[in-house]
Order: sequence, then structure tokens, then C-alpha cells
Amino acid sequence: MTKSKNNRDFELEDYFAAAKQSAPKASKSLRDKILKNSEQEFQKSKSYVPKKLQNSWWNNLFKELGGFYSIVGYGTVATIGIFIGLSSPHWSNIILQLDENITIVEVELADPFVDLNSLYLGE
Amino acid sequence: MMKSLMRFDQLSGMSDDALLKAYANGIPEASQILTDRFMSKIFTQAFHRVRNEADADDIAQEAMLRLWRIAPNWNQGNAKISTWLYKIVNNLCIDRLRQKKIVNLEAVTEPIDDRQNVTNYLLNQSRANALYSALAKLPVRQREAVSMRHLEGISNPEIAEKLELSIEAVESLIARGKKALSDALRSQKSELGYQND
Repeated sequence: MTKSKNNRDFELEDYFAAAKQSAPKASKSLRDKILKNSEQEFQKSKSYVPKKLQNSWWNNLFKELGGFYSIVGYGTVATIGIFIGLSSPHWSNIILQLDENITIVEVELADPFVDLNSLYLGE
Repeated sequence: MMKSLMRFDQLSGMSDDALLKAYANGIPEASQILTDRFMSKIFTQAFHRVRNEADADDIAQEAMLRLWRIAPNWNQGNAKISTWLYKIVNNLCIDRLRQKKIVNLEAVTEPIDDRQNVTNYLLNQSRANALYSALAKLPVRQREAVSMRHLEGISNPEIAEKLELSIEAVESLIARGKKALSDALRSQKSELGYQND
């Protein structure tokens, strides 16, 4: 049994050895191609990394303010404000006049029955 | 030149992970050392699966290209580079075999080595072909384990890591695989230069 197993293993080793011998080795041209690829990828990443790492104060400010939509909002509000301020300076007078002409209805909040107490209590 | 040599020398002692990180961080020489460490292994792995030198070449090249591309995002907590490459090569081999659909088991076209006489060469080729045919009939896990251990020369603990199995399970797979191979090859013994029992 053991002898048979040993024979079997021995023969299998022969087969494995034959397969290994028949297998080609990695060629120098493969190495060159792999290294060429690595160089190309390296160049690509080199041109990409500085952009990624580029954090200018302008970019930071842009992000701090909330990005594109916020900037558009701020811009719109600022433009409207400037337009109002520059194109209609007399608006402030109109507002003042309005303020003066407002009629205030004063409501009498004093107690109208204040004298009744003295009347009924006989004071 | 001296600086470059020193740097190369320092890089040689670094781990695979550290080399890949170095490559991603702007040291292209690291890729040479990684190539020397892995190229032969993945080429051999690919060849024993696809049995075609040109295909094995393409697969090894593609696997290494994917390694360069993943370098900037390589997470050191991930699997080892060797394990990662093993899986990539395995998948590429499967894709290649699917594309071809027919695995040509007679595809070895190795020129005759001067050191071997023609008879020995032909005998070796026949034995190799018989072995590959028998291997192809094994269950996938057995085939992978036997191929890694006996054709690619990978240790059992490494195989266990690559196949995500225990060492005992790998040993069992290999033993069963070898037994099945012996049984499959027994009928061809006389044709392959062995005496029948």
C-alpha cells in the first residue's frame, strides 16, 4: 500500500516536473511592457495629484460660502440692493412721507366705569 | 546616479505595501522592484491556467497595470498585494478562457531545449499535456490548490490565504486532488513511459 502510494507520488512528481519544464519563463519583453505601463500610469498620476492637492484661498472661500448656488444667491441680492440704491435715491423721501401721513387711531383704554364705584358705594 | 542607486537599495528592503505606497507617492523606481517580485509568479500562474504564452503575457501585463492604477487608492488594511494579484489573474484567466471557449490542450509551443534530446522533450510534452488534461477535470478548488502547490511552488499557508481556507482544508484538497490525478493518469502510464503496475 505504502509502496504503491510512494510510486504514485513519485510518478506525479514526474508529471509536475514535466509541466514545469514545458512552461515558458516570463520574458524580458514582458518586464519592459509592465514597466512602460507603470511609467505611463506614474506620469498620469503626477499630472493629476497637484490639481487634487491644489487648495487655493479662493477655492476655500468658495467652499466656505456654500458653493455655486450660494454665490449666485449672494450675487443676486447684492445686485438688487445696488440697483435700488443707485436708481431710485428719492425712494427714501417717499418712505418718510408715508410715515408722516399715517393716521393712528388711538383707542381709549381708560376705564369708562371708573366713576360708578363712587356712585354706588356712596362715596 | 549614486543617489538613485542608494534609493533603489533602500527600496529593495521595503515591504510590498510600502513599495506600492512609495510608487503612488512619486517614487517610480518602486515599480521595478514590485515587477521583479511578482511578474514571474503571475505569469506562471496565468500560463498554467490558460496554457498559452501570449495569453499569459497579456494577463500578467493587465494584472500589473491594474496594480499601478489602484496604487493611489491602495488601502494597507486590505489583502496582501500577492493575494490581490492572485485573484485578479485568476479572474482574467477565467475571462480569457471564456472568450476562447475552447481550451486547446495541445497549445504548448516551447522550442526544444538544447540540453534535452528530442525523445525526452516529446515525453515531457506528453506528460505535461496529460497532466493538464487531468487537472482540467478536477473540481475547481482541488485544481487551484494542486496547481499552486506543485506547479507554482506556493506554500500551503499562502495557498490557504489566497483561497481563504484553513491550512488543513488546503492539505486535504491537495491530497484528494493528487489521488484523483493519479487515478486519471493511470490508464495512460504505458503511453507516457511508465511501466504498468
